[in-house]
Amino acid sequence: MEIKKIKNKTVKTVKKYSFFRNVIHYRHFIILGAKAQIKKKIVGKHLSWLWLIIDPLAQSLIYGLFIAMLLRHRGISWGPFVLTGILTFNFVKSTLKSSVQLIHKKESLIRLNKVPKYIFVLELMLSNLLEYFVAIGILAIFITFTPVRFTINILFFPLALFMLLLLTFTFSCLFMHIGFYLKDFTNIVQVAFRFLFYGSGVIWPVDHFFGNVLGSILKFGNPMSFVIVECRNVLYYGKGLDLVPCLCWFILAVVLSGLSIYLLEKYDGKYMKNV
Amino acid sequence: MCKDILIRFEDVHLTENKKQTLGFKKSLSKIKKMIIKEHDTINGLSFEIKRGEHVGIMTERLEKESLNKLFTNVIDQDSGEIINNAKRPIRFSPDFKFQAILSIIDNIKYAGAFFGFSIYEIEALTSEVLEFGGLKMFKNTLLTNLDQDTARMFRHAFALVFTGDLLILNGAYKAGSKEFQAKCKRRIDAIMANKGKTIIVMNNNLTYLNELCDRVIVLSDGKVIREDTPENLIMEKKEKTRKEKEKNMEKERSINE
Repeated sequence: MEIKKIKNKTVKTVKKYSFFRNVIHYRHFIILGAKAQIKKKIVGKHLSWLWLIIDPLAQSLIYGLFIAMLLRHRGISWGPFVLTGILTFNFVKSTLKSSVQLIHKKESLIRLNKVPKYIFVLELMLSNLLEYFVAIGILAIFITFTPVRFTINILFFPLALFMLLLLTFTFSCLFMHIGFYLKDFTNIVQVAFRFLFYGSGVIWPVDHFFGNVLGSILKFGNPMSFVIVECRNVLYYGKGLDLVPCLCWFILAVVLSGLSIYLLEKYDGKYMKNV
Repeated sequence: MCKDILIRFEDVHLTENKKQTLGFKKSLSKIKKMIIKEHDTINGLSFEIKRGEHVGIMTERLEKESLNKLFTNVIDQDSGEIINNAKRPIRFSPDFKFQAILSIIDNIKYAGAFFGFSIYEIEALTSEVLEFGGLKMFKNTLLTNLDQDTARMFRHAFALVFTGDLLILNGAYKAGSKEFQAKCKRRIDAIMANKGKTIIVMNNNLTYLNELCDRVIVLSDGKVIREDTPENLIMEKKEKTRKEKEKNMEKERSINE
């Protein structure tokens, strides 16, 4: 039973589901929605799903070639190095950019039933994650043709991936809420991502041009470069995770994601008034 | 008929914002105030609907949309009290945005999950949708590859099979051939015969409401102005038109004289 009394009356709202229960409840909606989104990207194309591989591969080859010529850094295989950065960057970018206008895009669905808005973020993340996994598989094959070797530290990859997902989810929920009230936010995010592409070490080591201190700040103070560095540490350098920054970002991401879920739930009944 | 209350509105007020494109300055002020221009759609609305009742609501377009959102908990009221005991309020929605790129079976799962049905319920109802819409041979066909009529039949079949304890009928429920339309009508009758289901029909056609409802609530300016049986309302309307006709005839007679 749901009782809603507002203004000078007792407020007694019984919440039926928590976050995890909601995710379990809507799992089929999330999975099938993600499947549909991937199908939409490949339908009608002659090379269909091969584009999911060709696109990041071509992008990393182009950037890798130029960066190798430009930096002439010793002992680095630029192909897999750039590919790791680009894959992670593309995943974050496509999820965050799409989540800004997500409520407006899903307006026709939201009109019919009350669905927690973060379910749409999860649907979007899952479709992008599937693409990411396909591309990571390609990266693994790619790496076997280079001097880079996998070590036991690759077992840390799920942890790095968890951090990537947690941070992306947190910022996506926040962006979705802000983007709903401020349409210009789409353009702001676009500009920010252009800056982040060069400022987060997507195609070169972020500490290459700066000293140790400034390099470390840029590396770990920016969530984008942080996840790229951690993915690269595990997949490319064969190192473990940097535990202290990992723990700090984990605590911050948990707090922020809690806040963003609270915001989305609080404004849930108000979004429809403004669409 | 079960007499416990399913929905109760008590002095409910609701304002909705007007859709508008804003300039830069107005956008900034919108962040400060959150709300720029709003209009009252529901204005001190009070009524109750009992479980198992078939109620018709005569209203304007804007109020209709707001009421739909309030019934399905999509929107919060500004003030007043709403008690909604419906476990699964479902709006009959042949306009639901199905995924064109998914097969019929996947679409049933997708939409079923969206409306909060469990996977077991979805599996049980899938065959019913396929049978009702005559879609068994198309079950693995992508929605985009179906012709318009078949796609519409699928939408209607889904909407009439996946119903909750509260069904909100908004408009016409007929699609496709005459046979299929009759099938839809029979389905609606079967839903109405089920005593646990409550049906709210939003329509302004009294004859149509008389066919489906026991009681009609008439709204104007976001308030209830009348509540009666459809028969009484029809009689009243007939009486009113008769009186108007007589008045007009008298006027004409006096002019002629």
